[in-house]
Amino acid sequence: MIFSKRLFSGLFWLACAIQAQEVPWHLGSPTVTQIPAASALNTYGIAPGPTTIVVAVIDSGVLADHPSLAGALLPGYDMLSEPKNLRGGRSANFSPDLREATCGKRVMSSAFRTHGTEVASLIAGNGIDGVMGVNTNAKILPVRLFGACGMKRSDMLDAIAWSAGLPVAGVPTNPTPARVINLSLAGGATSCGAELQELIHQLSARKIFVIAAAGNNFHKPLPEPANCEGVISVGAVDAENRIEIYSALDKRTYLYAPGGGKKLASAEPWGVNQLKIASYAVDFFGNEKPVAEYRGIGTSFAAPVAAGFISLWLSRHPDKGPADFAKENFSFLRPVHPIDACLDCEPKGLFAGKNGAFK
Amino acid sequence: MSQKIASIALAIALSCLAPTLHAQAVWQCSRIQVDDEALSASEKDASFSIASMSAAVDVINLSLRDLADVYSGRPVRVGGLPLTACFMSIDHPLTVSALETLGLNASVLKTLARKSAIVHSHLYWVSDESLMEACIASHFPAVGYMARATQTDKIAPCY
Repeated sequence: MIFSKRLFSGLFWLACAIQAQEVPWHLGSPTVTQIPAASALNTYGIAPGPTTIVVAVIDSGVLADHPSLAGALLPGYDMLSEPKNLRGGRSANFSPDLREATCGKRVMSSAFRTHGTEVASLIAGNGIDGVMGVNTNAKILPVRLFGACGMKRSDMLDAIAWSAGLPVAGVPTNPTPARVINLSLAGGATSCGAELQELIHQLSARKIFVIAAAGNNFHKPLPEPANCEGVISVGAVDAENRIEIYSALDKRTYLYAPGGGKKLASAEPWGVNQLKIASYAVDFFGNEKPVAEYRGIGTSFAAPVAAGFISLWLSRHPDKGPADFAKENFSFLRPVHPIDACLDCEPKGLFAGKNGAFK
Repeated sequence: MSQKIASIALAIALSCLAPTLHAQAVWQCSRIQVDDEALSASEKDASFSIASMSAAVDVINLSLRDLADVYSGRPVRVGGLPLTACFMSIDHPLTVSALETLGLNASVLKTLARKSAIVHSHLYWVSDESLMEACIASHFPAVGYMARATQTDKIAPCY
């Protein structure tokens, strides 16, 4: 009896230890014996620098009680105004709308509820259950902008400004301004609106990075906000460094990062080709439970991988800004497989280099 | 000489046909009848969404993961309603192309069909593209795929 108890206990701790060693494939190989994915960032093992970087996640809201985000969240804000806000207007409650919330005739998948949580986990996940952000020392500033009724363009401008610490009428000043702003948002006009462009220039001058998903429009050109000048637009590549079929395709795309997609033939761990994210699932009784799973697919998830990477770099070089990144990006970018559908594209993927080239 | 011309013509014809045979499937979704008066033209043309979903205000909003789930037999709810997925035969080039974009292969549907799980999974088999259009139009909310982007009062491209 005692023996079986000990055996059980031993197996339990062994399982925990194995789980603790699990490293998401997109960060690189945890051991020298494992083959890293061709598109892996190779940031695993790079310790964050002494400066804590705040990364704003402007998204559908964040569910704050997920164990993989424990210790990573700052107090955020709900920047969605009426009539899009089902809670009546802006407030400090940055949690998402309910899973089955509806808005008139508009019908939306419940996936929107967990989107912001999943995005945040790729930036600053604490490693619990194997959900490890690119920069485990980063702090997430959750800013809700998207709900069951969608979002407003004017709210997006306010959310970006507030995240950066700029004054926004009717909202308390953000006490923890972000150095990196992640926008896993897409749509808008085919060219960057003047107000949005001006705001992004203003932020660049303040050394604030704006990262935007290229969009899942199946090889169409970049939408807003990714098409704005000064934005780091992020397309998606698979684990073998090929541009994903769903990703926007445009020569203006700044860089590509692992975004997940089709399962690959490789028997290596990265053959799963989906990103490990913190999310929630609904159990038999209809209750939401936190989960950690390989389910991330889309440029929505490639963007936070890039945001996490830049925050990791900034944690070591807090005085640098987007202009410095542009000057030094030859150190961080490497070619991805060219694509026939865009012959004048020169797609580049994020990479921390080998043997500590990321300094 | 004439044989040579004929073979060149055949080669050209085949090369023109090839893209059709390997056409990229276009995901089609149920359309929502939005109140045009409630939305300004600029709002309709310049709406945003989280990047995983369509920004269009007049179609049901689905993520790539929703599509992968529903075609794997995992129930997906949209606005509280079960999502219907319409599909053509497992070996149809459009089925192969559509499922490939999701990281699935046709054997997933085969398994579901064998288990007679079609109705329970809200998966509906159709024999051709016109029935695909009818399937999406007659269920709500529903998704399917076609050879080209199609817009009617009932269906529209998802992305």
